[in-house]
Amino acid sequence: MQRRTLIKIKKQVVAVSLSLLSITASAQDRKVWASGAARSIFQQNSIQTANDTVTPRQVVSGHALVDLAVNAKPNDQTFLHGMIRIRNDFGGFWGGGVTFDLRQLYVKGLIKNGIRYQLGDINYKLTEYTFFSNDEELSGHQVEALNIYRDITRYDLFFNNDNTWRQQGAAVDFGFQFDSKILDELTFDLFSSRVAANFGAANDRVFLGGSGALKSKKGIWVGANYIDLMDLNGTSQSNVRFHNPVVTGSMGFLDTTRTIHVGINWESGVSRMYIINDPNASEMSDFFVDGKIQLYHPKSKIRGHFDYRNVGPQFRTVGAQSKRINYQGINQLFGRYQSAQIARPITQMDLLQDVSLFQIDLTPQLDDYNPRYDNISPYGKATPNRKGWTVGVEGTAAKQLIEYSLNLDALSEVVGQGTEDLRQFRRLDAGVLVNLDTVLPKFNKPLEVSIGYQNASTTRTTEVSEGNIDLTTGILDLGLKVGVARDVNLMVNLRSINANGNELYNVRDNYSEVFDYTPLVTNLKEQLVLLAFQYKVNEKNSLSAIWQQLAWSDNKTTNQDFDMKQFAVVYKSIF
Amino acid sequence: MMSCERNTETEGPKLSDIYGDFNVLEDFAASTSTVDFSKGENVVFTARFNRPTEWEIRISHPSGSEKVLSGRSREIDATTGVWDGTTTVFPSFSNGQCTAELFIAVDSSRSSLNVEITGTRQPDGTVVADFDNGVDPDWNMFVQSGANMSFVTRDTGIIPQGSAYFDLGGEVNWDWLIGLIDFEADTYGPDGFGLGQNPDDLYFNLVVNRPVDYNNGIILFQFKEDENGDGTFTEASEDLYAVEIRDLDPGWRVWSIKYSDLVNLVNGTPADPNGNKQHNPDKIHTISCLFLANPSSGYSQVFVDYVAFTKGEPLKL
Repeated sequence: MQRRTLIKIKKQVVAVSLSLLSITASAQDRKVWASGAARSIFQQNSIQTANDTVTPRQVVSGHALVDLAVNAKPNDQTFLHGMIRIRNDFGGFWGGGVTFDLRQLYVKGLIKNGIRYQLGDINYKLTEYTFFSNDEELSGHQVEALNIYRDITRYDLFFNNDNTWRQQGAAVDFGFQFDSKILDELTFDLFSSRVAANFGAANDRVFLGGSGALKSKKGIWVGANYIDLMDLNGTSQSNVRFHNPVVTGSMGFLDTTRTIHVGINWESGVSRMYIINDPNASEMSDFFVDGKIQLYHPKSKIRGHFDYRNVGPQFRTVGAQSKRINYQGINQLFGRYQSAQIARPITQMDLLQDVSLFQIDLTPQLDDYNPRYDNISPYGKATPNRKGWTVGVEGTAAKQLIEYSLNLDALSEVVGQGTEDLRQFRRLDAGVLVNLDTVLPKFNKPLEVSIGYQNASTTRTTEVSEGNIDLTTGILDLGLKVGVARDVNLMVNLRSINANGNELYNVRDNYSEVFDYTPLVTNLKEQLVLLAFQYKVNEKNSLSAIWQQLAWSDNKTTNQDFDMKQFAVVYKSIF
Repeated sequence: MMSCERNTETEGPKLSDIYGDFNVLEDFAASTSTVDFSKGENVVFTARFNRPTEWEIRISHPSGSEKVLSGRSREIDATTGVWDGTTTVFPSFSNGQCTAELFIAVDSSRSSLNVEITGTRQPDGTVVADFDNGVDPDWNMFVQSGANMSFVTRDTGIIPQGSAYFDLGGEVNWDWLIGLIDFEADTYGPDGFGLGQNPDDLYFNLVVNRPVDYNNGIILFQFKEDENGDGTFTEASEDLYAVEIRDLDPGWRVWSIKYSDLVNLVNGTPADPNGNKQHNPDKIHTISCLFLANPSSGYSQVFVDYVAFTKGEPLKL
């Protein structure tokens, strides 16, 4: 919910913005119309492992689906949307393997031209410390070739690019505009969603909250956010009830009158997590602060930022710390391998296309994560027990020929784990995109080269030698996009992940308290090569042929090396 | 109320505890030296260590009964060290003195104590057959005329529960069926088996022993539902749910399945049921127990005891 319906104090003005998955251009004149998306994927996959006599070498799969939505606008104040999915997996006779699902259903509208509401499926977020769906690991520097699959996965799971969480409930927002020289507007956003319906087996769990913001005409604003994930008393025979209230205050300032625009943002807040009538649960409470200075030079289009944050070790906010990836999942593709049929490790290739590895529910405990991929901020900015600063710059050069970004994180723990000595975290993240087509106008087709590199390290030295930590991860992305014909592009990508060293991985109980450590030693090498031809009719319709190969090894584990190859044809359409 | 106070203690167990010398902070103890499981009493074993460690408690009775509790934790308490009278290695515990021994893996140390059982655990559930009174004349039994046939009750050797179990054995070289027993609901009372309507809350259980020499047998249980209440089961128009029990490890064990997980089997292959396609445990007309083996595979044998339904969770014996 990103734009607001405003009511001026003196007279009513309606400004409505409807954001839909897809909408036809001439919908405003119709009362009922259809929209949706279609997709068809055919894949041939193979795996190679030394001395494996059990795992099938090849798997062929695929599916076709249509998401068909009915949109209705019975009057100017109301909009209804219902979408069903018809999916057929290849291999069954037509009709034999067909599934029907209700994909989404909601109604939205205006009350008295002043209050906007939405009921049913809603996409919602607040701040990065209250309610925010953090991007999954390995999302940075992702070139267009990798996005062919990633976009499908995100679409299926309702992971929008704006970091909202898909919820089922209700949302309301309204605001007031002031006829004043100082005050501009006062806005309110409220929501409530049902997170878990346990049908009497345990108490139902709901998530509710909202925000308010007061903006002035001088570029200053102040706001407050409140969320609480809580069990409703009386919805079962159990008297055990979970609560996680989080309150934050924020303020900001933006000055665009000078040569360099300056923006300052500050947010701080407190959280509690407790369980009523559970003698084994102890209460967790803590606070965080986050301050950011942003600079922008319009003439050169260079942006810079400096962040400081301090997030306590017991700061818990389910809405912002829940992860998209479930690292306890089993891969759908070659889930077990080796003659012993052990679980195959999750790889970057799986995280692009296996929806079963993802979760859309909010989880009250801190989820498992993979330190090899991200050991510094696995739960986003709200990762507990982190303090330090981040500095970055981004911009363009040589008349849009080059786009670049550079970020540096220097963080440490707030308190030690098992020792007074603190882990130190460093991360360098750099990316360059060279738009060669801007200097070759006669070429008249896309020609881009991209390089992305990330180096992250975790270190700790302590008097107990088993507690010394040294883990380094390097991720290199090389990409090339070449237009070979009108609307036909060749895309090549190489992504190399190397993680080397050791860590003591936290083992947490059901109350998210650390009670043990698991030594982790790794020498991970993952190399993904992808080649794709894509015929893009327009932004909504494309046909792609993709070949990719993944090589995986980690000689510090008992998992054997394996190679996977995939050839796929992917058709996507939005109508 | 919330405040900006912060707990600045280090998180988690101390590294010096985990990687230093292992110490027992609280000795192995039991909440009671005598226990009457028939009254619902339990024994809670406790111990505390300076760091998480792997441990195992083995409770043994002179009859051969054993119960094993194990885990990895800093302490053994009411969440990990409770003995409710159930058994890991059959026969079921009987009255008398038991020895409980704690083994700690990190230093291979052992400590033991005694607990006396004054009342044994009474298994719960709706019993279909426990074989303690032999073969019930209300059961319909069919046994092939093969070689070395044994469809009899036994009261020798390890008896997992009660005083007897059932021996299904034989060699039939012309047919898969060695023998069968039908348990008809109307012989169990006016409410039949009295199982209620909720298949998701109901478990079918039995205690089974596959002798180490014979892995060729299949126990097929069929549940025939009289959905129209006419007092008969009509195969063409009423549901039959089934489960095959095969490839068991040797030795006595409890085997359980949720009633709603049963499927219709035709020659061992899942198929659509012929009736209302809903699991209706309250409408079970007959439970058939068939013992099968490939006719070319030779002699086969299996032992069965305590066939029963339980509600809410699998049988604990």
